[in-house]
Formats: sequence, C-alpha cells, structure tokens
Amino acid sequence: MVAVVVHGPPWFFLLDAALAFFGLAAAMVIVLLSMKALNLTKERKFLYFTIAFTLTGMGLFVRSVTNVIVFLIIPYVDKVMSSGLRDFRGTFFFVGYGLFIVCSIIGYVLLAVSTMKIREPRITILLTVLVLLLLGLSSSYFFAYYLTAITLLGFITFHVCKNCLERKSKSAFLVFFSFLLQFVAHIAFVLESVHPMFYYFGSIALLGGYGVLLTALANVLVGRR
Amino acid sequence: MNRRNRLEIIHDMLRVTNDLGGKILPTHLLYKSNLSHERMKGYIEELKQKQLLMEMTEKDKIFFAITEQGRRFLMQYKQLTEFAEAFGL
Repeated sequence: MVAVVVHGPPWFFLLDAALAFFGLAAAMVIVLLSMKALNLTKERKFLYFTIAFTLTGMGLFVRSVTNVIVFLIIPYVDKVMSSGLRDFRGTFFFVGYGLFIVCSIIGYVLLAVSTMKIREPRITILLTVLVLLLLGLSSSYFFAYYLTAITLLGFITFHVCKNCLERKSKSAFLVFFSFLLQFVAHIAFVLESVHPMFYYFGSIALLGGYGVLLTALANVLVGRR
Repeated sequence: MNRRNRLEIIHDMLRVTNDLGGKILPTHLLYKSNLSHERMKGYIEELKQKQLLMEMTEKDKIFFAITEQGRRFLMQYKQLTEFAEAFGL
C-alpha cells in the first residue's frame, strides 16, 4: 500500500480537476492550430509544439481523472460497499500524478526547445533524459517537478517576453502574460509548504494563465492582432 | 534580407494576385513575385495543380486568377503566421 501524501487540502483537489480540464481545453486548441501549421509547413518547430501541447493536455487529463478517482469515486464506493478500495488510493495517486509529471515535464522541455529555436535534435534528447533522470532519482518527486517546471517556464517566459517586446501585438502580450501567470503559479505551489494559502493562490494564477492563453488563441482565430 | 521559403513564395504570389482584384497578368506576377521566369513557371504549375490558381483568357490576354481554395489558403496562412508570431516561433 502506498500512502497518499497530498500537497494542498484534499477538498481542493476536485476543484483542481475542473481547473485541469480548463487547461486541457487550451492545450487542445493549440494542438489543433499547430497541427494545421505542421501540415502546411512541415517544419520541425511545429512538430515539437504539437507534441509539447499534446503531452501537456494528456498530463492534465490524467491529473484530472486521478483527482476524481482518488478524492471522489474511491471514497464514495468505499462508503457504500466497503470495498477496501481505499487501500489502493495511494497507488492510484502515485501512478496518476507520476504520469502527469512525466507528460507535463517533457511537454515543457519541448516547448522550451521550440520557443528557444533549438534546432539540434540531440540537445532535445539530452535535455529530456536529464530532466527525467532528475525526477526519477529525486526523493521528493513533487518538489523536483515544481523546481524543474519553474526553471523551464522561466526560460519560456523570458523568451515570450522578448517576443512580446519585439512584436508589440496583443496576442504576443497575452501569450507572455499567460506564461508569466503559469510561472508564478508554480512558484506558489513550491511555497505551499510555507503556508497553505500559496496553494490556492497558485491554483488561481494557473487558472488565470489558462484563461489568458485561451483568450490569446481566440484572438488568433478571429484574426485580431 | 531573409531568403523566402517555398511557402512564403506561394503566399506572396497568391497575395499579389488577390490584392489586384483576384487576377493578374503573367508579366505582372513575374515582376511582383520577384522570381526568375523558370522558377515562376514551376510555381505556377504547382499552384494550378493544387487548384490555388487558374489560367484564364480575356480579350486574347492570358491571366492568372486566384481560386476560392487559394483565398482559403491565404486566410489559413494569415492565421498560422499570427499563431507562430504570438509564441515567437
């Protein structure tokens, strides 16, 4: 039996599941747009971008389903039928969140690679292997995940900030603001050990980040700069 | 100045045709798309094959006209350029 060590209050995980679905919607719109771009241009940067957001979306979906199973379905089934499923909550949580972490961290690596215009596939593979080793060998995979995500998001945010200053367009600004919110959200998740309020703050910032990203995509789709 | 890739050349050819009311004389297309005669012939063949551009005759003059599919391509290209620019790709 694996014990569930939750970061954040358990009731909040159901709200977190809804939040993850919101992020999933943004990721799916980006996947559709980058697949269109990939079909038209056949450029590798769009391939990385498509895979990055597919993985991010998959990660969010797994996280959402895990939260619903662990914090809603299992407690309910166990209460009604005394099935003993409660003993497997830890395993579900570990597998679900493990998958979420692997998917989203590879997604962030590919996103960093495509936004920073790294053309060499060997560097992409090296970065992915290093990040996975770091997570796999860490004794606290949540902490290692958040710190790695903060580092990668920091680089991505810096790049989209530079891009926003160069382009001076509304969409570029919204993309920058969205990544800035996601970056801040991950910092708040790390600070959750200092005070639980940071977890709520992080979740709100993340929700805002996904919302702003969806607005940026809507802007692109309707052709407003 | 950056060298244009295949897609950018196709976009430029369709855009100038569209900007001139949807049809253009071959000499004007050659001049406006900034290509050699040989290269332009190759691109014209490709665009006709993909039904993005069609050849037509008016008062004994040959024109190239943008098709509905060509206009859709221009819209899609604009959308994707904005998407790529928003993320700095």
